[in-house]
Amino acid sequence: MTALIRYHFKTYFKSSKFIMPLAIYIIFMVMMCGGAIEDVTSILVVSMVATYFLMVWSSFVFTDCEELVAEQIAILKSKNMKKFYLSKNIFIVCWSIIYAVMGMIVPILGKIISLIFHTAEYHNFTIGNLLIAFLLHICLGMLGAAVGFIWHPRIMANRKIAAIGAFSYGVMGIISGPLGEDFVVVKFLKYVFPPVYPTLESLGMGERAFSFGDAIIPMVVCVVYAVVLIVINVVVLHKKGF
Amino acid sequence: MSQVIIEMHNVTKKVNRNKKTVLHDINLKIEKGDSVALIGVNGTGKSTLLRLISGLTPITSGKVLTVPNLKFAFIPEHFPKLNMTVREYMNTVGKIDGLSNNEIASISKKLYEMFFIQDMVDVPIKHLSKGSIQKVSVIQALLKKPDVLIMDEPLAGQDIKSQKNFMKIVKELNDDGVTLIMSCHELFLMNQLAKKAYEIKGGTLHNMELRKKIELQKSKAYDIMLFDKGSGLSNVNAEVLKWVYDRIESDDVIQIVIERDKSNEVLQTMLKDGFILRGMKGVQG
Repeated sequence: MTALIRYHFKTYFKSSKFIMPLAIYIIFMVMMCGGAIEDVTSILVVSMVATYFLMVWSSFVFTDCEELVAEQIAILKSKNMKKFYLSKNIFIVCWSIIYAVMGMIVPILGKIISLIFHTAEYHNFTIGNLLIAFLLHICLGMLGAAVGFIWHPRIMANRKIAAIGAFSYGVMGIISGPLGEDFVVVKFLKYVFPPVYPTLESLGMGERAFSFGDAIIPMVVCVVYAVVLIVINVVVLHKKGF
Repeated sequence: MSQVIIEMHNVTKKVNRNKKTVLHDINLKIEKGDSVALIGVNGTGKSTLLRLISGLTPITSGKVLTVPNLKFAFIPEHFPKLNMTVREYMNTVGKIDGLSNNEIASISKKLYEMFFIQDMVDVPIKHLSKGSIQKVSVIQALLKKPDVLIMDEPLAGQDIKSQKNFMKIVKELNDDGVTLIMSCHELFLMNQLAKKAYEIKGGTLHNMELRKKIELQKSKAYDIMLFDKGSGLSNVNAEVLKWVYDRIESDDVIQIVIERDKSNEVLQTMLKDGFILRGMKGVQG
């Protein structure tokens, strides 16, 4: 499994496809750092959304990275098609953890800058709160990775439709929550689409911010949803073959 | 009697949502140590059959039975133009094969020298010539001894020396118990490697009789010429036959082996008689 993950690492980073999502993410985070924001909670919500979307994008382009024949050779060498696709999913989930770490850097840098220059006072900036936020970042990054991967070229050959699908499906994860609150008839949508909104909500505001009790269930739901998508992905790709 | 390692029973493969039948009623038994050649014109389903055998493509109906944990190695017809260098690629796939760093280094070094690409190992594969890329394709399959070596037009684009070395390695592997399954167009070369041959025609397999291996005289140069039979003419001129060292024929094509110093004369006669030249290759005895 380690050898396969190393193989995916080489394939992904030898292509140039990882650069654009990463560059956009870094630029966005640096721009956020430039604003005068007093509460770290709002920065974290924005970085969680960014982590989720940029992982959908990264995962989507990752599926396009590998040449068909190279994939066939690697599958035969690993002797197990399911193991091969599982390793691809594990790799992209590991990459989402890197994004989650980057998502945490902004508030930490902001705090350091505010301490040095005595600028804004960052409320709610404790190690415990940051740990909860980091876990939420990881869950959303993992969810984004799984959402992007499901639009694999052998599942959806038309890449234009796949791109639209990945974007729409990803966005519905955020808007299905508020839509369900405003229009009761579509409340069920939040159980169908990726549970991004409930996970963001669990970060909380004011006195209820960073409550582990509030965050644990959305985190678990997020991870379970991602795992279900990964399993579907592996089974479908195995069944379809080449 | 050798152990049967792959069996196909009434296998059918349809594509385009079952609208087009590529292969049907395929029945095949492959024993350990077999060397099987599949021939057929382009688009008959040779590559599809190779993928069905290796399990990369699912069947539509029928049964494919293989011995558990069979290790397949695959030499594709068109190896992709990867961004990795040759060395990086071999190190990475060698690890997937379960080899240690030292094993990869020593085996790959030997293979680079055998295929004359030792000066290109730090060049990205996408920057190599077609023939060199095909050599990379061969080397990756030979890093670790497989149970079954699947080859899809393995000699395409390779120089004569590399072809010779490749055939030597493949014969040694076969002698060592590795099962070979190949698709190729070169009838003469197929004759040198294969013990069984099948032609794919109309989506089904047809047994082909193999010629006995001919022994080329050492140090002599020969040319292999492949002709379409063209406008209905099926008989080779008697004058040409005098110089034909070996000949393999089907309904539509004929392949002849001529000593090189007679090639020009034979070629002119064949063309004058209405045969259409489809390919020509030099070999050394």
